[in-house]
Amino acid sequence: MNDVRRRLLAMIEADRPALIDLLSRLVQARSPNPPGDTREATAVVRGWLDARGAPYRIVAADATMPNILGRFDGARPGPHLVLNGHIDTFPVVSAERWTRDPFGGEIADGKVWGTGCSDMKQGTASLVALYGWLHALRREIGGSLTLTAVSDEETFGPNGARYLVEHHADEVLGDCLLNAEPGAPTTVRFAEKSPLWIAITIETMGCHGADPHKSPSATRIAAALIDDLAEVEHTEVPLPAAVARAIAAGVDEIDRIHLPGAAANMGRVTLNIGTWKGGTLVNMLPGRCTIEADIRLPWGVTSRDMIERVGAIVTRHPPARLQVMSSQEPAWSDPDHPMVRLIRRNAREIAGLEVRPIPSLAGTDSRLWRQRGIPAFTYGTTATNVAMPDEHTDVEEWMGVVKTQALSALDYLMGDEST
Amino acid sequence: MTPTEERAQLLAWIDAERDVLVAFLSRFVRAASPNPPGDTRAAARVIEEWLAQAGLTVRTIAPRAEMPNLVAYFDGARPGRHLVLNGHLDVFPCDDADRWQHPPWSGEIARGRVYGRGVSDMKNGTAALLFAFGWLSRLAGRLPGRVTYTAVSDEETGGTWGAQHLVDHHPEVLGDCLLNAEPGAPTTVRFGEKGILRAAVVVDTPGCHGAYTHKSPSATRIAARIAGELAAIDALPVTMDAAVEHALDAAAAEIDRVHVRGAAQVIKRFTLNIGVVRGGVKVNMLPGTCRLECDVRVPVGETAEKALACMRAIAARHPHARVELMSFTDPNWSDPGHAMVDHLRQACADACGFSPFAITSLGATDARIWRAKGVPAYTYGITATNVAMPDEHTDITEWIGVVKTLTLAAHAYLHTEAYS
Repeated sequence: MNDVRRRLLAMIEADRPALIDLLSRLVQARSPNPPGDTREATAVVRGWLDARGAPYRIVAADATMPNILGRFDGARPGPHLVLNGHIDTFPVVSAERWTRDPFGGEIADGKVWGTGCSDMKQGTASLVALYGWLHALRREIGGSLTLTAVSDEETFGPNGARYLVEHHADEVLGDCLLNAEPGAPTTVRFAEKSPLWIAITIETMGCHGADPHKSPSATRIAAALIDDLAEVEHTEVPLPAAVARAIAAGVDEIDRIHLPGAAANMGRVTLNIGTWKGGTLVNMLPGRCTIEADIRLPWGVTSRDMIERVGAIVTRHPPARLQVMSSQEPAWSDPDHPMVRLIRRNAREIAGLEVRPIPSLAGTDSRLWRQRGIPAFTYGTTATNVAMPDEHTDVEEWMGVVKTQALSALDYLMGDEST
Repeated sequence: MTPTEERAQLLAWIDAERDVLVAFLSRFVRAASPNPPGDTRAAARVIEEWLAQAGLTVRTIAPRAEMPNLVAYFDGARPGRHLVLNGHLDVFPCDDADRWQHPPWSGEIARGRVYGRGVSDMKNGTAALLFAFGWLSRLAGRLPGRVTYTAVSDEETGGTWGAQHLVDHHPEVLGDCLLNAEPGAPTTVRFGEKGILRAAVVVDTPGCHGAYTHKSPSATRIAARIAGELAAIDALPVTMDAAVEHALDAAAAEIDRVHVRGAAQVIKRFTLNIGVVRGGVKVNMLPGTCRLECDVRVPVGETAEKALACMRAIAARHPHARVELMSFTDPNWSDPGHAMVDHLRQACADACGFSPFAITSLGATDARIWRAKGVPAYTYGITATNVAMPDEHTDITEWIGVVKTLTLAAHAYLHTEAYS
């Protein structure tokens, strides 16, 4: 191991308590989205960067959703690596079922606890710290490093990474993206399924609840429609060979980390009825009902085909109208890219882990880079209780991930794969 | 003045004060009182001011400050029957103002109608009974018995803080007979009403991220399946008292005419309304909770328990589902041969030229609360036009006919001996 790598590892070890404290404070600085106000959490990140003299500026399309954009160059020209994490979190779910304070950032049992801790304040903290460490080493490394710590990821909103790639493409695209969303430290993700979000609104006259002969019921039509929508899960999928091979090779690991059934879900269309809301008062027959659905498309299925298929189902229920909230095409990067090889080798060296390149079920901002032709890879901790009570991050596992990410970024910037 | 002359005097007052009546109804509608939240203070003030101007004393009984109940009474010249008049101050909420041609809280008077949320259900009726009370009070020196006027809150959400509170804590409002003016149709006197079961089916699963559909069952999708299965309630077999069924069959054509085709069937069977559905937080989270709030109407002769058992059996097929009982009222009815029914039929024939049918009603009214205390209770009112729908309204001409019928029937009831 060369000297720069050793010094980087030493800096990480020295900063370990500070890094855990950073994560705890980030969790305490609540940033649920919606509403997506991340100012308090952004201030915590800024404090870390300011204390270490690492350069950055704030780019905010919406004042309540600031993005941190930083860049520095190494001592000599080289590849441009971009780091990406998000600052916003899911809203807290089922607060009454938590055994810890969802915004406590409690450090206990070797874990940090709280809403958004796993998804993905741990990853954002590690990339922010990585940016600071490599900045301290900037005179000894090559290439350029860009940090993007963004808002507005959880709703795939317009004010976060999307704003940056659309308005500051020359600064933030780079040659390769490293993202730290949780998944599992035994996998590096080179592709992800693509979310298609739809809203269906059902409108009928509505009337008094005692007179069901006077108007069709928006809620009961919705129930029948939800049943029918299950058909999309049976869509035939022509998976690209490279993706199919990776899934086949990773089946056991995918099912181990994401529970049995995950590998099967990767290659097929899944349907989530995320919200179903109708009516105002129990004794009024509802004249309005809305359904929001999140359909995940695997590679080989286009959003246009799926929208057409959903449209045909919706048409069977005349008072229902379909609206596409957001749609995009599934994309993937080369599973044999140098960054993948570096992560595999460093994980083996640092944590003794065998890492497999696999696609991902969940969406991340990586897709925005991939869709623009930039190879983008996600490597992070195990997703523990994301969007569930008692979300947390295991500190030991996290430290292994932090080191793997740091060494891989360093190696990539050095253009040195032989170390 | 003979009772016949008194009737003529009452009708003369109604005709002379028609414009005052319409202006009052419009003002009453503008005093918005949607429930929920159920704050009726502004609407109550309109009634109180009118009573004060008429020189009548009113008592406010408010177990919840924002939900006052008003009680006023006068005694006649000698002992006799105690008639209680009942209407409610609160109205349905309005979440679809964009679909109205006439703003919902405007009380707009146009094309011979008064428009607004709650004008039909039932500010017109509460106002009609108030005026009837006022006119009868002018004859107090000649009438036997007592008349009590009640205008209550919290009717749209069950009555706990309204009529139920009054009958439980102020027995002086019970009287010998209740006359209620909920809308229905002027061609029907309602002597009974369907029961109501309100229960929620709640589905709880762990929930998870929306991309990992293999990790947790979906509360919304299970709930949708259950909603479909709950249709079995609509098909539950019904056993009905022969006399009631006979009355309903005799009135079938009229029931369909006034309540829209299909009503005569609906009145005789269980019906399910899934009034409120709340599931999930966010499109890309797999929901761990979904709640279906159901309102089942129980036909006269049947029990709420039967519908509840059906609902529980359906929920039991789904491991993540359970039933939460919210409230229930069994169907209830009073004697269709009671004197008040005859008085209403006769008054309507005299004032409007037709004789109403005696039927049970589809919707529930506070009349049930008096029936539960053993007081015969009858409902007579205008056509329910667009209740809980956009552009709810009251036809003024029809309403005035109802005002006359209610006033004359109340008068006749006080004089029951003279008429029998």
